[in-house]
Amino acid sequence: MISEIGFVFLTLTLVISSFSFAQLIYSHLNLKNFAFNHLKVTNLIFFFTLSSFISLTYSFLISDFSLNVIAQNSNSQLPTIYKFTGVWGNHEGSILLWLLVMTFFGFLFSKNSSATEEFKNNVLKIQNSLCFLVVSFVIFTSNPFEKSFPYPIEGGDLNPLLQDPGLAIHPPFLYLGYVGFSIIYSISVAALSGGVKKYFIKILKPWVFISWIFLTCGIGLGSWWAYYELGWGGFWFWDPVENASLLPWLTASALLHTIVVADKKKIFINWTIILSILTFILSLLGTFLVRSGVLVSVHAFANDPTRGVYILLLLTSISFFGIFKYINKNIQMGRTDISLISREGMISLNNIFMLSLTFTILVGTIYPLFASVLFNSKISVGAPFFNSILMPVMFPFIAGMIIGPYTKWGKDDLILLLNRIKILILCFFIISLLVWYLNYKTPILSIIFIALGCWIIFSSLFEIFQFINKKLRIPKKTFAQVTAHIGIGLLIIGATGSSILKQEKIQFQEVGQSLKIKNFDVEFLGVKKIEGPNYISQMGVFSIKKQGKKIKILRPEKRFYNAGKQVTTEAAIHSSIFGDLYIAIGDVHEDKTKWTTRIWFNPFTIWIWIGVFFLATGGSISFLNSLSRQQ
Amino acid sequence: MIIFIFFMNIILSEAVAIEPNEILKNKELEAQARAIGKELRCLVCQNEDIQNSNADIAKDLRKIVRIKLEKGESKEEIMDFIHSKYGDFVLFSPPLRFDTAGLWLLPISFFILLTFYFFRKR
Amino acid sequence: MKYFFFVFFFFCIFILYEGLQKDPNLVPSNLISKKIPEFSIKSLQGKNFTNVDLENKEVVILNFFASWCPPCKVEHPQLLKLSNIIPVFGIAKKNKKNDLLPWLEELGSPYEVIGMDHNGLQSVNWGVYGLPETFIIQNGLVKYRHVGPIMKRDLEIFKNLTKKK
Repeated sequence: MISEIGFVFLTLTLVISSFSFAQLIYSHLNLKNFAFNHLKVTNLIFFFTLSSFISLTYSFLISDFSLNVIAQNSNSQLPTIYKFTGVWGNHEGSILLWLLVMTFFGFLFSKNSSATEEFKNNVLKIQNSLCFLVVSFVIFTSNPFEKSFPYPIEGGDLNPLLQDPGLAIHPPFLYLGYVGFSIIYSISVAALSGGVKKYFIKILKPWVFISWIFLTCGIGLGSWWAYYELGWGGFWFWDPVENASLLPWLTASALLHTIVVADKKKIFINWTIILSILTFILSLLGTFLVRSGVLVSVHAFANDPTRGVYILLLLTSISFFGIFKYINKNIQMGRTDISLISREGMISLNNIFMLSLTFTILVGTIYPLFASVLFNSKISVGAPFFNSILMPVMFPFIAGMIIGPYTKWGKDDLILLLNRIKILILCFFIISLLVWYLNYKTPILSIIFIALGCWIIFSSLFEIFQFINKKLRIPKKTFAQVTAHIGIGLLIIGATGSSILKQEKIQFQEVGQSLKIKNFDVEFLGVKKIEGPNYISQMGVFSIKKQGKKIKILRPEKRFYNAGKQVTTEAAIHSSIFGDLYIAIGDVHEDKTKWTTRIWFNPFTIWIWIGVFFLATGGSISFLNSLSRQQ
Repeated sequence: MIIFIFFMNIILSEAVAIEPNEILKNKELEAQARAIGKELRCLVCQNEDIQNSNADIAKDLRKIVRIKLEKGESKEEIMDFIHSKYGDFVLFSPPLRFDTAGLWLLPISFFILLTFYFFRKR
Repeated sequence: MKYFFFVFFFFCIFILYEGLQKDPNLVPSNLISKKIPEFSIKSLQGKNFTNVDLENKEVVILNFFASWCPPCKVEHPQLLKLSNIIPVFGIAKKNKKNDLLPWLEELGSPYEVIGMDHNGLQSVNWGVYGLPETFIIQNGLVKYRHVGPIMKRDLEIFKNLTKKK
């Protein structure tokens, strides 16, 4: 009953949003242009989509197996929390969540933006049309309210990998991110139609920041989850789906920098529009790559090429419209030359490198597909390729991050610039020596990157110091920038330590045997059998001591799930600021006295997550700042 | 530059599926085996390398790499052998050829074009 | 300039569309049209089984299988049918003799000779990445590789490819 209501609400969304879509078509075909209040449509479709989503959620919570999606992806034995998060743990439910976020952002925009009524109307016309396209996709190809036949007594299982708190919140954050970019697309495309003053940048700003913050957290959560859950201690694998989420993040990060310049100096306005449209196109492209079955990936949903055709249509129409509007734009912006040594020049460099990195990752991810269609070749492009292009790009990036904030607007001089930061350069030299001294036994590459990470942090702190020194108040925007850049520095240190400086011990360990790693003594106490709510676990027990003192008991597990007969490894981690002790338990040896144990020490890993937190914080400061200045 | 690239291959090394009895006694050879392992794709998995997979083919390839290293074969010889049996798909970094050249040419061209776009005289 | 963008845009969309029709998981064999690999292993009976045994025939089928592999059981009837028209050789991967013999007794054996690949190295020698896989060998050259079990509908392909000239 509830599920039928859910479907009705979904249909209502389709019908109501079609009005906005129809008006969009009419206005472009130069047919009679009637005035239409798109804000009302926005409110209605948000309410309907929310109701639809709530009914789907309710159906999941009561394990209503009459719905196919619940029969396939949920189970009565599941803990309640995973019945709830299972709503988006499958294709149909997650697309409905997509739609919900899209209507939600439209709703927020209608209520909170400081734009004129007319401009809001134009923006929402586009946003509602996007919703119309997505809801059509849902109803015609991915209906979560489709009935199951025959009606099963018990459902399949939610993939055990998804039965985890970290993974439960990762999709909502991601969607708030990349679906949030739909509103920046709508705002920019509406601005292209003309009739808006240049202040639309101020309207655009908060939406760029808030979506970026969510996407940053979403990617960070995914990475953190992969780290503790997959039993590998790795946090980034250059899997196509990971790359797909990174692409809009990179262009949005470039956009963050550009929009600040656009707001202040009234240049880069065209480029801001291009980036806004491009970012959303990349979100859509990502959705296509993940859900169409066109690429091999660990993350891929149950792949369906027919669905893929519909998503491709969505991607094509929305991209085409955005690009078409840009090429036929009705606004003219002034043009000024940019010199390399200047704030604008540094931001340009940032954009050049970020966009080049985006393009390279895009090419790497899609190249096997293109080569197979064009040349009938079957190639792989994986981690070695991506790592080899990332490394060289990091250096100019970091250089820009360090000296950029010290350049002047307009035109600056290299000698004057160096003179301004001569104390900083001296400090860099000292830091490098210090880092080398503390780490001289480690590979040179790790020393270089850790030193660079420290340089970024120090350079950012030095900015603050200069304000304090001159007894000036620190502007919020500087605070935001400094926090975010410190985040990057911490991330680099964490990533470098966790990967290059990783120590490993893989062996058959006997019960009672103790091993030394870093300065920990890891004693294997044996294996217990534990019964969980929907699994049986083989739990290893390890006593961790440091210099004779007992620190902790770690309990890594190997879980065997009843319903789907899948096995997962749950690693046990002891974190500190110096690194993580990470233990995973394998199988028992043939002679039954020893077990395969895998023990790692991953230096500085926690700084990766702290770095992401700093990034999100910096973004939040900018976001709040942009709200208060929306005139 | 070559040393630089060599180091880059040490980065982000995970080796989860390796069993204790696979690990070579000679630490240097084992390190080489790891470096090679990261470049070889597990053909039946979703985008994993042979060290992070429990699949049969991954185990067999890991074994062959180590057997050949102990025989004294070089990294090139081993990669060539596996490449000749399994084709381009097994290599995570494709060989440089006319149909794969775009992988490097496209990004470089893009970078140059973008630099001109930003710093052009208007 | 504008037209260039649109042409390029639709070209990319077209490629993505074509990509949807392809199966990203299918790996083509690198041995096609090449001479069969040299090998020498023991057969189930204990005799020697080498590449020469496959080269001196006009058309031959080589099937990689194992008793512990469920799809191998599924394709067995088709192999029996094929063995009536073409000689079929097998290589059992990581199979113990004691497991293999009863399996063959129960299902019947289409194989003239079964090579034992105890360590999996022979499978790698042939570029095999999963089971079952079947090769059609013509005059000592690899003509075709079939990945996965041979189903009834695949029999036509096999018959066509192995037609005697």
